Formats: sequence, C-alpha cells, structure tokens
Amino acid sequence: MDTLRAGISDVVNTLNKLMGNSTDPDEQEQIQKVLRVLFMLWEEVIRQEIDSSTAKYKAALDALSKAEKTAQDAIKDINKVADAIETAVKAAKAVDKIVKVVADVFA
Amino acid sequence: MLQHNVLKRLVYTILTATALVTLVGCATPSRTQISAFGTASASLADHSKKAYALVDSSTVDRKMYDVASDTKLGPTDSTFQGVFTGPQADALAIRLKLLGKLGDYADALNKLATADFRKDIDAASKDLDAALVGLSQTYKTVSGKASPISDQDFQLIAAAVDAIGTAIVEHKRREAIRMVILQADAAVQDTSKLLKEELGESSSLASFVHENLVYTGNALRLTYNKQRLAAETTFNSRYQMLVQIRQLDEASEASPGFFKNVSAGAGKVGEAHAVLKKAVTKNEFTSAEIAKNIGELVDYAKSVKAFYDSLATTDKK
Repeated sequence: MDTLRAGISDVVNTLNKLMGNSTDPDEQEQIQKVLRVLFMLWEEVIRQEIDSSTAKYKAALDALSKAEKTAQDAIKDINKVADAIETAVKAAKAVDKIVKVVADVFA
Repeated sequence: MLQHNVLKRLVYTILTATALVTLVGCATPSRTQISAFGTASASLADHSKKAYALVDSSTVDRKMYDVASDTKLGPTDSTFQGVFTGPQADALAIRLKLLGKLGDYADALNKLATADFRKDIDAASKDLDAALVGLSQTYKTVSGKASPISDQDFQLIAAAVDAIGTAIVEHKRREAIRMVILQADAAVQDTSKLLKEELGESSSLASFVHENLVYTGNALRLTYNKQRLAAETTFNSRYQMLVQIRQLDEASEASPGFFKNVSAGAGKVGEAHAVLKKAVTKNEFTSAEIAKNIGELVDYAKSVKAFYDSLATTDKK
C-alpha cells in the first residue's frame, strides 16, 4: 500500500467483505455509510493529481493501513465491527484532509 | 422492485474469463496475416473503449443501488455522474481518441493489404495517413513524450504507397506495407504498453470496477435483510432478490478476468505488430510465428467481443 488509491482500495475491499458477511441490517447500514464516503474519496483520488511527498499523505497511508488491519480483524471476530468502522472513519478523515471533498459528511 | 438491467449487462462477464482457446500456428499468405491483424486490433481497440466506459457505468450503477437501498437518501445530480468528469473527462476523451486511432490504423493497414483497385489503394492511403497522424498526436498528448512518427516517416510511407502503381504491382504493395509497418511500429508499441498497464487485471481502474460491483451486490443484501422480516414479503420475492444478489456476485468475480483479457489483448497488439515488423524487415511475411501471434490476437478480440455481444443480446430480452 504505497499510494492512496491502493490504500483506499484495500480498505474498501475488506469493508465490502465485512458488509457482505453480515446479516444484520443495522450493522450493514453502519458499514455502508463509511463505504459511501470512502467511494467518494476514491473517485476524487482518481481525479486529482496528489503530491505524495507531504506529511498528510503519509498520515493518510498509515490511517488506511490501520483501517484495513482492523477490518480484517473484524471479519474474524464479529465483536470488532464497531472498531473497524471507527478506524475506517478516522482513515477517511485523514484522506479528506488531502482531497477536501467530504468534510461536511463528518460534521 | 428495482430495475435490474445492470444485472443483465454485468452477469455475462463470466464468459470472458473462460473464452480463450489455444491456437495452433500455421503458415498463411502474408496479406491474410496483415488483414487478420487489422481486423483483430481494430476490434480490440473498440472493446478497450468499453472497458473505460465500464468504469463509469459501474460507478453510476453503484450509486443508484446505494440510493435505492437507503430510504433516507434521494437522487441528486451526482448520483448519475461517473468518475470521468471535469479534468478527468478530458483525460478519458484523449484515451478514447487514442484507442480509436489505433483501430483506424489497423483498419487502414487491412484495407491496404486487401484493396483490389487503385482507387481503393488511394482511399486506404488517405485513411492510413489520417490514422497515423491521429495516433501520433494523441499519443503525444497522453504521454507528454515526443511524437513517435516523424514528418520524414510520413513522407516515406506516402511515397511507398504511391509507388504501388495504377495496376497494383504486388511486390510494390508488399514494399508499401513493409514501410508502413516499420514506420508505425514505435507508435503502436507505445500505445499498446500504455493500455496494457492502465487496463490490467491489477490496475487501479480494475480494482475500482470490482469494488463497485461488490458494493452494488451489498446494497441488495442490505435491502434483502431489511425486507425479509416484513409481512408483505413472500418466498418468491425473497428468492428473486437472492437470484439477483448471486448474479452480481458472479459479475464482480468475473470483472478482473474481463480487464485481464482487454489488457492481454492490448499487449498482443504490440507483440503481433513487433512480429510483423520483424518479418517484413527480413522479408519473411509467411512465418508460422506471425500466424501464431495474430491467431492469439484474433482470439483475445473474440473473447472480449463475445462478452459485449452477450450483454447486448441480454439487454434486448
């Protein structure tokens, strides 16, 4: 995971699996909300030319890496879904500090 | 009930993953080989365009399913916007133009190889010139690198085609084809490489399409889970939703295979053209190696075409 595109792709992939494995609509809705934002950010990352040498970029990559790991843990342990959502939201906020499109979604 | 044309369009992606067959190379007449190259790469260029279109359509489908699965959401203009808007729309447009010019080149080469009358040669020559100018210019815009075909190259091609003569002297036609292939090779190789990387199985765009499709299926799963306890649902209505979920799962699983074929086909265009170049350099138009490479190229083009034909057929039902 050395680009934002790849980082978001990995997190979305894992959260999609988590959502697909769940049969609880409330839980699925919570995951859906985070995925919706991550897809908005992903589209924007595809559109924009982004400077990868900044501290914000590195922080976003780290946050995405943590989010993917936590989501992987949640696939194995259903009790960790809330943690997965929380770290994914943090990662989305870190990415949005760079692309600046969905700040109001988290307000 | 949601309108599921998207399912009809996407579920047949599975066909592309299994459509390849092994071809056995054999020596065939040179003009047939060039003609096959022209037809196959023109077809492949056309279908690569559809890979870019799939990026946008899967994005819009995902958003529509998302809105439909959440009663708190309503559609907005952005619901129906794909990825390629604003500056990206320009980036996509130039790639589509590049693909179009690659197809035009192959088509014009095919015409040059098969024309029976001088007027057909003249028409092929005009098409060839326009295609090569376009290919050269669009590649320059996409890559930011210098044009792979110089003005001198164009002059050499024009002179060689003109020398074919009124009565179409066959050895002069071969010389013109040789000249065209040699001068155009750099542009074809660069274009092939660009498309092969950008539309690969593990490319960013392929991952994006795959996750769009998975999410679309998840939106249906969520809707199923919300509705399954409602009094008005029946076995049949629940079963129909499960069928649709399964179809989307199959489409998402098959989508990397689709990109793999498009990318492999783009690579094959470059390989087949390189082999043609090698053969015309040595004046060996009828090698088995050419036949094998072009045979594989035709096969890739057919597998991608089969996918889209299936979609078109299903959409009409």
